[in-house]
Amino acid sequence: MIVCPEHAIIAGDLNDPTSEAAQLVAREPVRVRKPEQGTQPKLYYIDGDESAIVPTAARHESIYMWSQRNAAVLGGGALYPPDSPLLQENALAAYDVGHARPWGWQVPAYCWTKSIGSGALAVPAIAMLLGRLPGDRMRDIALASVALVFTALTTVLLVWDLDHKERFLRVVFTPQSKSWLARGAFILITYSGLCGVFWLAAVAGFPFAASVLLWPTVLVGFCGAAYTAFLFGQCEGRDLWQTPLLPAHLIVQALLCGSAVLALLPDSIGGSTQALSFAVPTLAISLGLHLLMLLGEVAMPHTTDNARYGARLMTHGPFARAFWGGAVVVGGIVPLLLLLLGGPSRIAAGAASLLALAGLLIFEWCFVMAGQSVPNS
Amino acid sequence: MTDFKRDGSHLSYCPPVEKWDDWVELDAGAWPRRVEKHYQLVPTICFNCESGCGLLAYVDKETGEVAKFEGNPMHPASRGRLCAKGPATITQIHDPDRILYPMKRSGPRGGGKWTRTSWDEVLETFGGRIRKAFQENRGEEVMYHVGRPGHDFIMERTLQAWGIDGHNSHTNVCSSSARLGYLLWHYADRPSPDHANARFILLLSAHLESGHYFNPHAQRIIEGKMAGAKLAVMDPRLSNTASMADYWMPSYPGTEAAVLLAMAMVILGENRFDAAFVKNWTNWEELEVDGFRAQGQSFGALIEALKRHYAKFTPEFAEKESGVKAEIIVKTAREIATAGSRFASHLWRGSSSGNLGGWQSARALMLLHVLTGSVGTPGGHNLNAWNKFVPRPYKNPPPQKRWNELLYPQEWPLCVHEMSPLLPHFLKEGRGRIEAYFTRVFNPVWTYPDGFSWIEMLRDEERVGLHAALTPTWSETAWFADYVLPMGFSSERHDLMSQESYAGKWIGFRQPVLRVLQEREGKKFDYTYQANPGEVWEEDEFWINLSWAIDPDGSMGIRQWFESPYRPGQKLTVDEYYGWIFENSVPGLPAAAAKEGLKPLEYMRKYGAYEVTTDVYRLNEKPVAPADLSGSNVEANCVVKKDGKAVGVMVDGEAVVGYNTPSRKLELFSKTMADWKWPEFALPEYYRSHIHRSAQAASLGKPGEDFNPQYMPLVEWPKDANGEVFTLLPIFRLPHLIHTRSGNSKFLYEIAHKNPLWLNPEDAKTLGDIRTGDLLKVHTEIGFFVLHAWVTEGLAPGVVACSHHMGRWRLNKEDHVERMSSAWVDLQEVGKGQWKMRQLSGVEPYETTDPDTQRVWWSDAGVHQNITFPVHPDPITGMHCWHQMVRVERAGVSDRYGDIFVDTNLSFAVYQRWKALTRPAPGPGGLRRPLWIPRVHRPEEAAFYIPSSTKKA
Ligand code: SF4
Repeated sequence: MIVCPEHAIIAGDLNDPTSEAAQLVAREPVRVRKPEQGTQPKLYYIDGDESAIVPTAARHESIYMWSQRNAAVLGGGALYPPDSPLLQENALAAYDVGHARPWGWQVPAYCWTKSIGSGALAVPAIAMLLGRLPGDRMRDIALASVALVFTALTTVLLVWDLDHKERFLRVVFTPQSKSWLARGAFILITYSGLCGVFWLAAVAGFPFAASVLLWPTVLVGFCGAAYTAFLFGQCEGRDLWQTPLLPAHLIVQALLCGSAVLALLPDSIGGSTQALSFAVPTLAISLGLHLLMLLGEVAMPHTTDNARYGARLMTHGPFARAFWGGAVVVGGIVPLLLLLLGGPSRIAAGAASLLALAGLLIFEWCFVMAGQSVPNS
Repeated sequence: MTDFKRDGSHLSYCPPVEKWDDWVELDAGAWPRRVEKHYQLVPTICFNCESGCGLLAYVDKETGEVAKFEGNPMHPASRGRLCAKGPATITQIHDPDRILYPMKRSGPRGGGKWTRTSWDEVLETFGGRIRKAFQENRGEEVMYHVGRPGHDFIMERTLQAWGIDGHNSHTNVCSSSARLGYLLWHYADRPSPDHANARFILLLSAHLESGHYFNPHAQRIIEGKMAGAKLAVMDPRLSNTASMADYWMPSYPGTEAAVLLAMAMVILGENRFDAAFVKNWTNWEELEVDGFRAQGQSFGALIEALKRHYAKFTPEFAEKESGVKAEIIVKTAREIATAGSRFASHLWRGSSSGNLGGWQSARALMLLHVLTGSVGTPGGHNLNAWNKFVPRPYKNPPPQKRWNELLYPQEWPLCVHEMSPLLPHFLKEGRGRIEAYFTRVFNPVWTYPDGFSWIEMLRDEERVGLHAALTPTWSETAWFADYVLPMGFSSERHDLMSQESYAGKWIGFRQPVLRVLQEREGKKFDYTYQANPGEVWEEDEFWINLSWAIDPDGSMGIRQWFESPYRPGQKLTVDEYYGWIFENSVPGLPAAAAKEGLKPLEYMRKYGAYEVTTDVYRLNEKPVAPADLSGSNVEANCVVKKDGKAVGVMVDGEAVVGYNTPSRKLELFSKTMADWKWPEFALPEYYRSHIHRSAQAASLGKPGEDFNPQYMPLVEWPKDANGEVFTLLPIFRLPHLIHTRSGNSKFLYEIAHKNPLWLNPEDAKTLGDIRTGDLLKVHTEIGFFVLHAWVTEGLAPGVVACSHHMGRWRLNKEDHVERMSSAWVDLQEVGKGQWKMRQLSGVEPYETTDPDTQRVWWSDAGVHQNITFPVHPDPITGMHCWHQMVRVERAGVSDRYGDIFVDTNLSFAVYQRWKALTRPAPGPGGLRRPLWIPRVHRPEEAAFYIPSSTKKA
């Protein structure tokens, strides 16, 4: 088998101290790319300059030294803010290939529909557990429908974003047990199944069956909400997404959506003043928690430069307007104020719910886009 | 196929020869399925640059097509390795826009309309016109003009068989000045550094990324470095090469000789030179300088005289001229002295090709080698002639009796090669005309300075009667031809090559891969084009057939040279031509072939290369052959002569061959320069370039004392040229492109397609806070061009730089052009000689049989700078001095990216100003040029004398 006839890459057995590769690694000053990722890379660069090896270290101008910048790659390519604090003085990228941003709008949309789908049944279930709300067959049917429809949308979006759509079947039928893509698919299937049976029970008028099914369905829904944190966690090199807060944050987002859906539920299909009066504080609390976690995520010290770079893209870079204006102010602070000041007004609560849902969608978009806009090589 | 082994023992760098007939690899496209592909590997030679690296064509046994090219491990110079341009050959042979059939223009010249014609018609037309010219004694009107040779000797032989002085080349835009600097020392006009064994390497060129013999040299420089050699690079630009150096010496362009002489002074002053070598191997006894005559004096007195002569070259003076820190000059000089005979260097293009007087940097560099005794040594400087091997064919025509004044005019008696950049001006001056003009892989409209003057010449049917462009691809020059004749790429032709890549000698054999393969399988071909795509010919067969067409019955005495050595009176075949050479002219090859039971030709077809000798050092010390010695006499200056011809020199009481100079020694003192009216340059000197700061000041009407109009032409700016004055470095090359020949490689053009103007941040500030990407207008002496800025610390202040290769343009949007590498432009002649070019669109995706052409994402093809340069013929070497004095300003509102304007009336005036600085022939004895200086395609001696002055010396 042929490896690099130019001899620019020396391949060999590092465990054999007499091999050329092992001797070079022992003798020459070498470095590896991204040791902090913990993958123990075995590709060593002799005399590798930091600015060439760390992708966020060099300034990228609008053009390169002998070429244009390729914006025809998926998503328009990685982003290089000129004021990044990670830039090394005088390091200027002479040339780079375009780095794709593989995930399109489907992925933030998937996060969003999944939050709605997985949180729809949860809030009334909690209210009932606390004795704040009686059971309601209409509401069960309506919310189970919401859960089913949004979970189905979630699946559609997930498959849509795959390059090879047919491979989804392979994910399901020959699953990789360690892949959170496969695990997530099974959670979503289980959740849809439970929702479906719950819906049937509600429609058929078996209140006992519905009440027995409710909590398992809600709990699997929470799993459905949270698993994405582990899926993102498997995207090595996308450090913005690797925050330990993410599972909890996703459950908070599901509750936020569940509260908003409940607040928006018309009386004709199970809404009620009672439901509204429970939905308003839960929405306020979950929205407040979401805002705190979101700000915490950008403000807390990041363990890697990659995560820092991603967070900065969100707060100072090209996504800053959408993030601050859309996700924080219009979709966060404004609905929170409406909820706190608007009291039990249906209009205020409805407007707040809609704004909060919109704000969440904008946040998902910023989060996903900023995370994958970090140049990785 | 080898199985995977955990310890990596299944890995190798190149397929071993035993497996070339059936090499198995997994099909990457079929992954994750394991699909085996079977290849037959056939060696050939890369044709993208002059290095001649060995390629290995992987021919897919199923489809019979070449699937890829890798390196040939059996090639002694490239050793299996290639640069990016080698493997990219695959994109060139499969380029859907390449020319597959001979084309003839069907409208006015330059009108862009073509129809397919037949090779028979081509041969008949050219054969007839050339025959007529010869019969009417108009031999000078037939000219062959070569861009990339890629072959050795066969063209000189062809033209000599025709009896004409018609060989023109690109060398005067390439390397002539460096050549004069070297040949004045030792006749050989190129260096052959032994980098691999050096202790200290000094490069005045960017050999790790480009340069003459790029890949073969780069790998040996790194080899030397890995073994501990230090590397110094003198270049105003932080090239990739400079970035790998231990010392980067960013010298102001044109001042290199001052730095080198200052280094020489350090070595002289500290008495660290190799006295025995200088004493034995230079012609020091002939030296006459500043009233001192060395003859009869002691060697010590000579050294003192030299120290006095060079006293002004202090490190401080050199720093003032060049900007290179004095302490770095001293430090590197000492390191060079320490390296002694293991000091290697290279200088090519850059300083010598950019500057008026650039030949002096090569000469000053050689002085360092002479002082350190590192000439002909392991790890030192060797002569190209020692490391290049050009075997002779079966019989050779006598040298031509003619002298073509369009090639070697009297103004430049010391020009090293043909004065090719001046051809349009010579025709304008009425010095002659051309009846049949062959441009061969040659694109002067684009590559040369003053391209619009070339267009004016080429479109004028009075001046150029018939023009054939021999080229595999469309080019700006082919556009103005009458015929475009497709010639093969690397894997579609025969050529024999050798280069001075290291301290040995090799030959490489380029071959038409598909023909060779099918012949192995028993198929017979009369001509290579029958196995090539379309009707793509190879040149060897073209010249043989054209010679027969000129002289069909042999009555003109031409045909005899193209008849078979084996079948009397029959047409020569390429197999016979090369077969004879391999059987008879390459020492050791027949024996090596016999060992494997092969004929020499079969051996070369199998391996693609042969190493003739290794470890070639100190050939000057070879004793004179006994046959030459008997009956010889020793002259007063120790030169051994036989029958009036020098055959050697006495050194330490022994007759050795020495060097091919008049003194048979290294010529520290050049009597030739003194005899040919340049006595002030009899010794290595430094004099100021045309872009020196004093010349810049003079162009603004403020000549200082350093501006000497005797040597420097005065720049007169066009009326509307504004902005700060800079020196533009226009010739640096990129590793992945090769002039305009790589324009049809999608791989290479995707990597590089833009040539912004490099600018130091300080200068960017002066020009009004210019940022990368801003539009700049660059004024030359004859026009302007508009391009983007690239602000970088990697360039000395006061200098701007723009890389070569990019800025291709096309006049047709789609047909008969190279679409992936050119902008579609509107070209207008707005007044007589006033040319305006504006881009209509950049590169766009397009539909062809190759789906990749629809994936073209770049839109920029760069901006053509060379066309805005006037000619700058060095008054001595004739080399076009590439560096330009320019004025740079922020582009105005009406300027658009890619805009170009040129006035060829101004370029003719610049030509006149430069010509006025020459010191024309005749030289001593009525000679046109010194007899001893090499001349390509050399006529017989009588032709060297100007007819009116018949008196011989
Ligand atoms: S250096 Fe590159 S372009 Fe030149 S011959 Fe070698 S492989 Fe070809």
